Amino acid sequence: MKIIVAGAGVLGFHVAKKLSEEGHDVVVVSSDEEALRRLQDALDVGAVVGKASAPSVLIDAGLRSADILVAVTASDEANIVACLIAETLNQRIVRVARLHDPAYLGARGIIDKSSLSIDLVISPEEEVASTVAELAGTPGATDVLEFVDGRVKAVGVELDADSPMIGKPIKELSRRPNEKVLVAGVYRGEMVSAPSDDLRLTAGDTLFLVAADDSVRRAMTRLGKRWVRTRHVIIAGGGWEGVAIARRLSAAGVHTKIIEQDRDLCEALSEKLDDTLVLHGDGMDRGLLADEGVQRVEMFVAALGDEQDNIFTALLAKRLGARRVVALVDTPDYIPFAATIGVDAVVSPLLSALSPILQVARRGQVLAVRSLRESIVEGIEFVAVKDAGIVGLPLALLHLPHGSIVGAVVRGDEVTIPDGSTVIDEGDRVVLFARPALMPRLQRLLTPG
Amino acid sequence: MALLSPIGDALSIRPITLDALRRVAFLLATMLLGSSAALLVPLAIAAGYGETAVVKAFAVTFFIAAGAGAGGYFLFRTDLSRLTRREGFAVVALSWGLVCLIGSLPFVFAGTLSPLNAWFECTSGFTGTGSSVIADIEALPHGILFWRSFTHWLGGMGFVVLYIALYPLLGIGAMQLYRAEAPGPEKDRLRPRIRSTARILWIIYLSLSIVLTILLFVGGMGLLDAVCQMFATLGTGGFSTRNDSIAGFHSAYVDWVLIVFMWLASTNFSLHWAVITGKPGRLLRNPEWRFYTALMAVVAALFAALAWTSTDVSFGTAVREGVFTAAATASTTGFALADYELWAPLGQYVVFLLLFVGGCAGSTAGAMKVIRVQIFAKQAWRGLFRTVHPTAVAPPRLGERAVTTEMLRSVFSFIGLYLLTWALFSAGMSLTGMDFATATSSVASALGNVGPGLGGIGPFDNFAWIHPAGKAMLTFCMLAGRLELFTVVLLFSPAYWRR
Repeated sequence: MKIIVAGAGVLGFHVAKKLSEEGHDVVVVSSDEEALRRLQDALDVGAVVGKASAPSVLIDAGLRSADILVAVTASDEANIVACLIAETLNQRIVRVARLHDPAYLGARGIIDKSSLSIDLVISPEEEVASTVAELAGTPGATDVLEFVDGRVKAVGVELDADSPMIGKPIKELSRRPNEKVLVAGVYRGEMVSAPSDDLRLTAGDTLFLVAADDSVRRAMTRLGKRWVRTRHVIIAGGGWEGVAIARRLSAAGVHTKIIEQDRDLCEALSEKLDDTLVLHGDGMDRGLLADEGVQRVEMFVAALGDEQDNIFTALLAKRLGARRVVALVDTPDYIPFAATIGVDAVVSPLLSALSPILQVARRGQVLAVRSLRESIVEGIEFVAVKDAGIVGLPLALLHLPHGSIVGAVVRGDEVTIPDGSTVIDEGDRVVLFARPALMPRLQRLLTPG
Repeated sequence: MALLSPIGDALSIRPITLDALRRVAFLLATMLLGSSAALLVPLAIAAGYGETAVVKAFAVTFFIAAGAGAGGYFLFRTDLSRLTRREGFAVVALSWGLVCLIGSLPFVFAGTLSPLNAWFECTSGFTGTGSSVIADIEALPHGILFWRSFTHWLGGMGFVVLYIALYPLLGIGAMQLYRAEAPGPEKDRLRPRIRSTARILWIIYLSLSIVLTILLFVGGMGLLDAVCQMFATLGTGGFSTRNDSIAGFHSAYVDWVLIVFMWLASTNFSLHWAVITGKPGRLLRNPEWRFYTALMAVVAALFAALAWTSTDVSFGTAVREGVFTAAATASTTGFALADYELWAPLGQYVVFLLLFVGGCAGSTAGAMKVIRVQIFAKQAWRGLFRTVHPTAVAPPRLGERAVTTEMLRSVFSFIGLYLLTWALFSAGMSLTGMDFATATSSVASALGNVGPGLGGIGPFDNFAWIHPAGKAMLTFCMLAGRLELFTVVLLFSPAYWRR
């Protein structure tokens, strides 16, 4: 497919990277010539210099014959205009726009397919909020991905030194068939995807479990994690992300406090957020954090404007006794680094926006694409269609490529964590995990014939 | 939904050198393996003409190249997706050196040339230079004759570009290679993907080749002759199959057809693509192409006048000789029709200047490229303007676009390096006892991949008499010039090897 990516920021870069690696023809449009040069140094994509909301520039980039436009410039207005132009010049094109400002997001029905010709609106803030909410719903997890409307979860867990599973093989995790848990990957310096059942676990391993929603808790307990429900959360930073998180969490019944330094903003927040206590102060202030009981919260979220501040604040909160700390970090190089120095979970607003975009490019039977650990492993959810290669044979006989694994099969209300004898039927919703490089090969198994 | 936590990736240090060497070695091996297939064509032709010794020479070379290539392929097999820019330069420079070396073996094995001469001849072929050390070309066996011209064609569009077009496993590495081989300050992309771009370039190249071969064949040339002249024209090389070069065909039709195709081959191929895809406006508006075509027209008129006044030929012949010489020199092909050394001295001076200019960027032509000369001249003029208006913000413009500072910097450093290299090697050539005109023009001609020069290396002279050290220097210049200096010179700079 021909895809135009407007904007060469972090998200633009990653969208272009993923899509070109998946074999699409990608052209990136940006007025930042230097950014384009760096982008072309690393990616095999075309580049057009110019304003992404200018018709002539978009035409130069091949708008008339393109299949998808992904507008992810820093400006909401430019993204909207680019989509408008795209619709005028090419009715067939699928338009995706990133919008930050809640003022636009609140206007669904005005800014969407029906009126403003945007097929998919992506809000990194909303994505972040739902990611944080998922984390809050799964105590002890470093990563949580939801599939099949939340009925199947992929959960990352780091093994503590006192875990009862240390030294034991993976197969001991699920003793009874109805509590089955599947280990899709073990991260031990590098990723072992689809590990053998006999692999013995050691302290410091991060396991990626796939389980039905109601089995996650049991599995976590077996791994030695205490299941402490998230009841109290402090959020440092009252920007768009902080607000979206606060709104999501308090709607789920979590006691939420939000700390913001700007007084005017605080007042605006207090009007917007009914159930959230808005505190005026510095989110990095040790005294304030201690006074507000950071030592008692189950989760602390650092959502300040600056990602270095986020890492630092999260570590500070951890030191003060917060049970779990989450930092918002965007620079890809910082993400693994933040994790190694003690931040329990890192959420990247920009990368969060990536999955829905990839989903559009893989349209068809694929319902969801989720990346674990910035794409070391990827999970896709799809509906098994008639005559697809994956249907009708026991999984053991399918010869799936090495490094890929079927994580869950959902038939009606029943979630099955499969083994070699499981047979996928037409109409099943299937969750499959694999290294991203294998995805093109796997996609062939999903299509009929 | 990227949720991330403890990973040591960012902190671990990648072992650079061994991995890098392995990638470079693997790529070189695959290229060698791929290029060895090219040897089978002259082998078949030699077999067709019953030239047993030549068949043997090609067969032995083929087994050496294919054997070494296959061995390296299995020994160094690795993932190429991480190929860096630095490695890309190394691969391209080394593969050119290697291919020129392997390509010279048939000349040696067939007993045609000594190793040094064979190396010179073969490099001259692949780089599209066309300087020959062979005096009696017509006495060569057909297989050798074909191979000599074939190298022009393979090197013209660039075998690395061909390799990119055909080899699927390259991924992002393709770009690093393309950057190092493709000529011109800006690398045009006809398609978002380098691989598709490379394919289109070769398809255009192939189409032009077929058309030219048919035209020459229809004009009464033998098939082998037609194909060989075609190779030399499209690669803007200059090896002919006649001792008297194109003059040996005595055909006005052939002269005019070649004039047109030398001009086409030295035009930016992305402009050909624009015309093919129905956007001829882009060609007509292109400032480089307009300047190039105008320059060629002016020089052609001058040469025609000089030929008519200086030598005893008819007006029609003088026009043909003038236009042909202008096209052959400006396009850096270097075919010979008339001996410009018999013209008034102005002619030789203009030829000398043209050795530096070359054709359009993105074509098979050599030398500095018109666009760089244009930018250089405009910026020089701008300097003068700025002494009058010191506060003026007025970057030089090319067509509708302003030239960026980045571009200016790259053009100036290229031209500086080009002239320095020329000055240095001219001194070297003088050391071998050459006269001034021959020494300076031979280096300019080799760097620009033109072929003939002035003095002892005029259009109908050959290079056999040059001192062995001189031949080695010119060989290096041809290679460095073809890869636009940086790719080759980088390997000799300390900064490249520093971590």
